Amino acid sequence: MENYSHKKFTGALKRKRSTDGESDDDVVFVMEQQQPVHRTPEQQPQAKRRFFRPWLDEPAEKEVQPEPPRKIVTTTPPPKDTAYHANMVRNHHKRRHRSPQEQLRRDRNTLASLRHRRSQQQQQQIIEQEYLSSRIQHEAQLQQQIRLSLYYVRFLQQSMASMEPLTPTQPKPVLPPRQTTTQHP
Amino acid sequence: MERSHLYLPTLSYATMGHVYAPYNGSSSPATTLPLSSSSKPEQIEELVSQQLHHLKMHYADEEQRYVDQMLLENPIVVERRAPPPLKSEIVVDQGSNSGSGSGSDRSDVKEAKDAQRQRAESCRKSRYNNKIKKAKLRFRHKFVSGQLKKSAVMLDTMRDVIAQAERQLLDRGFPASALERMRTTFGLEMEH
Repeated sequence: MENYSHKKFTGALKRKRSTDGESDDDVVFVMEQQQPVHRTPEQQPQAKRRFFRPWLDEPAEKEVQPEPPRKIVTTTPPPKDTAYHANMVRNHHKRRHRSPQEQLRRDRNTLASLRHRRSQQQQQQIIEQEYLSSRIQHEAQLQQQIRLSLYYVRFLQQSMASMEPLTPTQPKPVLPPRQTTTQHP
Repeated sequence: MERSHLYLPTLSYATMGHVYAPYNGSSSPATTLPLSSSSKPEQIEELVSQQLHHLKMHYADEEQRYVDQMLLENPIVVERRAPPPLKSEIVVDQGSNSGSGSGSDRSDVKEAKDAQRQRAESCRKSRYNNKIKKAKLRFRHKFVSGQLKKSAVMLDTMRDVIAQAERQLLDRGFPASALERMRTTFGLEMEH
């Protein structure tokens, strides 16, 4: 998931953003600090921490830098409909001017939502794979059932009917075919 | 006919009996054909593929019925942010647009409004269809998983019954090699 890339953070847009300059505001400061994982309820939240950032507690998220991620290995995106629908194109008015903090927040939100969408797609793909393999297994079992029932009806039943019955007291007799036996149900 | 020594448990596929064993003729020894002519491997394979196709169609119908039933019980709802546009509003817009002929500004605005409305509806429809697709996949997966478990139990039961019958045949002096040969003819793996 960390290798996920999106066009918003690659190419020209990334170069433009990186030249906007970093701000030495509290967001950068907080990101680079070592945050304690647990805090008692009595402690005040850090004065400079204005936003809820649960990812700061996770070691995996430490790589998210204040500026948009630089090194992103491109992976093959999930297959999706690539048809172009002209009516769905939105006409963005002038590019909104956001402060660096706001832009950072927007970028994080975008990344998070993209990751979430990607994970949802992967989950759907997993379900679909499981469904297909279950179906194949089920069909194999059906075939086996058909063969077993054929074998039983066409062969075993007839063979048993044509052979002499066993007496209950003698589980393994070798009866001559002409002898009569009494059955005890 | 002597079947009293064989214990046949109640099989849950009783309703599918006509599919699993569609042999209308009697199975008494006097009237059955000689085993060799009716049990050729080619005939058996043909019969198996026919029955398999029949069963696959049956389960596909069952699956579709199940999915439809689940969709009815769990309807998909997509909320609207704004109330749906009334038909009268659209008609009024179109009427005023054609009647006024005032200038390009108003028509541009109208076009933009129409495009926006159309886009919103398309988006909403797309979201709704995607939700339905996801739900259908979930229900289909649930159905097939359930069927897989049931058929596994059924297979075990059938194997037990057959093993019991084979044991009785062997006890009566039936040659084991003949049993193996017949199992191969019917496409079954060797007994353990």
